[in-house]
Amino acid sequence: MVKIPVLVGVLSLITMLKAESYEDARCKSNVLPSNDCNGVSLPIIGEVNNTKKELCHDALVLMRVETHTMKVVVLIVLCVISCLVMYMFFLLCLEPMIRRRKLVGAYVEHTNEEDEAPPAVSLNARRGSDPMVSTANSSNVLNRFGHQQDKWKKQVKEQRKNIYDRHTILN
Amino acid sequence: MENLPLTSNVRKNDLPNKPSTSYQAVKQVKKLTERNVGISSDDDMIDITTSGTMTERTLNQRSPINLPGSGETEDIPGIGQYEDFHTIDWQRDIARDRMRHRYILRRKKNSFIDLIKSAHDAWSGWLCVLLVGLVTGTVAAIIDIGTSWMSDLKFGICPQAFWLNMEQCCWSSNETSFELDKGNCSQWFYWSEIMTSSNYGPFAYIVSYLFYIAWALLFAALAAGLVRMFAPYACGSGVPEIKTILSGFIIRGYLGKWTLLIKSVGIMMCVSAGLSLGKEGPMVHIASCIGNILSYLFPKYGRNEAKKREILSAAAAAGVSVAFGAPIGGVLFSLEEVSYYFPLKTLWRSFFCALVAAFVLSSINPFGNEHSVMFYVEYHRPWMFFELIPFIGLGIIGGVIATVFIKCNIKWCRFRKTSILGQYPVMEVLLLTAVTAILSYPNPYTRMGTSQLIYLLFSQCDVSSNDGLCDYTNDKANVAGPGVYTAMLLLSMAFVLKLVTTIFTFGIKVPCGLFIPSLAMGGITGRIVGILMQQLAAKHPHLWFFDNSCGLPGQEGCITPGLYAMVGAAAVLGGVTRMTVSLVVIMFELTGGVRYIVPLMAAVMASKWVGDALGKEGMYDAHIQLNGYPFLDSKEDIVHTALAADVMQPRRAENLNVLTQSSMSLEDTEILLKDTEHNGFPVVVSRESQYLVGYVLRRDLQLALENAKRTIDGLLPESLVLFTDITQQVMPPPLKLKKILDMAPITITDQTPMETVVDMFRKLGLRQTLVTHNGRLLGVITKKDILRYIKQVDNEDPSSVLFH
Repeated sequence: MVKIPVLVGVLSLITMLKAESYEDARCKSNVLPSNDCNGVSLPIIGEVNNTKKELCHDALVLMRVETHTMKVVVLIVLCVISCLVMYMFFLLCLEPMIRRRKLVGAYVEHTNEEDEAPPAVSLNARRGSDPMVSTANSSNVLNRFGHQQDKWKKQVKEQRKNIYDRHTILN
Repeated sequence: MENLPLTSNVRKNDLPNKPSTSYQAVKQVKKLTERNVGISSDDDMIDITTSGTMTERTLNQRSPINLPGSGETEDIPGIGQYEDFHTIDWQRDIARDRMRHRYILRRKKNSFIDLIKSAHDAWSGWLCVLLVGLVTGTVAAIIDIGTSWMSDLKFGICPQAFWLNMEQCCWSSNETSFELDKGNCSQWFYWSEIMTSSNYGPFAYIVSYLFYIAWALLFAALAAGLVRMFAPYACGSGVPEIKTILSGFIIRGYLGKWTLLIKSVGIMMCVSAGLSLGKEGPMVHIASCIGNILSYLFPKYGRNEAKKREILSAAAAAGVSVAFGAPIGGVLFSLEEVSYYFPLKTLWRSFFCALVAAFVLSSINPFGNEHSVMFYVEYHRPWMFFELIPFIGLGIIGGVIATVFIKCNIKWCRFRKTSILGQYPVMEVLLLTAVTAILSYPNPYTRMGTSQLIYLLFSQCDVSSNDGLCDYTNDKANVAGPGVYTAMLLLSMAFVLKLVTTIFTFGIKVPCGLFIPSLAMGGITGRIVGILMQQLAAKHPHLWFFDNSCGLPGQEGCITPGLYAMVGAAAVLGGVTRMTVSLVVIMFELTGGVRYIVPLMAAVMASKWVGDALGKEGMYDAHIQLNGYPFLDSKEDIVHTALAADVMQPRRAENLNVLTQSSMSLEDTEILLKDTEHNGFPVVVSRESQYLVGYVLRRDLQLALENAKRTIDGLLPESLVLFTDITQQVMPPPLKLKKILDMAPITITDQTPMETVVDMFRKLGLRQTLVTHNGRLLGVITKKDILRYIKQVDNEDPSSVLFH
């Protein structure tokens, strides 16, 4: 019974400090055991006592929600999505530009390759013959990363062909 | 001696990803290994490489010729793997694992380290499913939290803590009312409030409407774009494909890490976009991706396709377990619906995996209701005997709805596959989202998330509920007021909208599952029937079938419309997927009571019968058919009189392409490989006798030949290719390939009835069987031949069987 004023106090404190107290609200309310529900005076519509208890119990359950997890998860999700979107725009917009600039510096014949061979393969070949990359032995890690990326791009291209062009799977 | 060069690693750069041990490459292999331990990329799965862990590598190197003539073929890189879109050979993979196991057991006594290794090998299955369960639970929690937050973003934002969804945001402000009424919450700001500083009036409505549509379009565009850009395999529900993969099919990259990432992110955005789809089916796919990726930590599973499927079965169970918070339902789902090969050991592992996943999810508590699903409800009232009639009626309605849904959806998918519509996947998604959002917003029951709608339909009315559905005129809550009738009208409209949009939605190129829309459709039907029954009981309590036990004073609460909604939901879902046992278990785990098993069983069974009578197959099987996956359904019977000789290839024995055990040169073998496209060749004693020796796979043969050319000096085109143990010296030195020969191929005689053959393929998981007559080889029957034969029996086009 003594704890009811504490609850009220905590709650009013929360409303006062609501700007930064979302986590606190849950943490402090955790102190209350749920069997105190009988005495809580709650201005609710139901008159039946056990309904009140039920509602109060619901509220206490809600208190235990850790909004901290939510914060972390939502931030992670936002990070992942923004990374993916940026990478997507990089692949869509910037990379063709970089490649075109590289191509201007390289041979003219290379541009014709793209007609027959799948572009990812020709890109691979071009990268191999590109003096810039092959001489840069120091950037071994980068090189391999590029190789991995090309391989991955080839796979995605293959998947895209299966699904969007040939319609062989996942219809 | 000749065997050793195969194991010694000489530089082989022209084949992709062969591990090689020239100085430079050793480092590379090591790095590959480290990378594998770290994230275990799906490149391994895509590029058929053999970068296992170091233990396995050393294991292979130490046992080059220990196991003569058996399944010990690991020392040629790439052997034991399969090409993309091929069927695996369960028998061969299980034999390989047996050899491995035997080898480890034999070495166990040698040293302490070997003892530890064998212990690690023994528990690695459990460890793997434990990890799968942990990761699956975590990912599911992330998806749940992210989805609820993003869904609410369509309506407004919590400016003081933007990461909270509406419910959590409102909690701390409404300590005065303790009621999650979305209208009175000072912390949560609707977009209209932010933009026009008022929440009422037509202008605010229009602003909210526009924001709703804009967010939906943004989410859908992102999802479709990401899927198209990074992982096209992430689209769809995934259950038909998982089913096919578990039956022994290879789709490289389908369970890779990019698919996992994009599917997880994509499903959050698709659900938030308000499309008529659910995240439960994709959850099975996500869990299977996790299972596949983690199985690479354990070479026992990662490098053996048959063994890997044990982990995948467990992962599928975990997927359903976290999707519905129903661990036992998940195990049964895996057993009944997706898995093909499900021994007891896998059952226990699935059980454990589902348990761990459910535990992790509920300890994270993503919905804040201490349950792992949004629509968890609890009923306490018993049901009456006469209610079985409406329950069975709901089952029949559910079966009809499900059949209409399946038929229309398949028609539309076929149209998409063959017409110009298939060329514009992203546009299709955007258009559908726009239409769905525009039509959904005006109706409050479609405006809210589908999971919330299901929760609303399932729950009982009590004092705190203020929805129109609970607008009862008397305090005993059994005589409906005008609000209930309005709600029923709105719900009927919602039903039509859900049905139509889901038909067009399932199959678009974003992650989408059909559990939730099916449950919603069934829930609406059930709730309406429930309310009608309730009103009947309230108005005419003296009707004979109420048996004076319902509707009279003191018994007003005898009919729970929420229970009807649940039964209806189960009926439609049962009709759509044709699940029975697992569905009932999932539903009762959702309600937390065993009391309603009989109503659920009655409805699900009725729905299945009606569905089977009206249309042949469930949604997943229909999609397998549509895509022409090589799936041998173990549910169907084949009653036919054909014999193996009628189905085998080639029809005429002289066209049979065979290898001889000791008389073909390297050149002959290569010509045979070049001229034919078969995936394997029988090996016979001689062309004249045609006595069978064994069977060799094309891929293994090619790899072995290329490997030999690089590693053995003095190999000439006229060198003999030997599949026997010949000790005498021949010049030029022959190429011994006995180790890639399968000496125990499954054979049948040409007079074997086809039913037996099909049964063997189903039960043993064969890839091919050899047909003999009087002990002489006549032909081969492959799984593809079997599938073609079944299509022919069903009067369908046999050429739709595309894959091997």
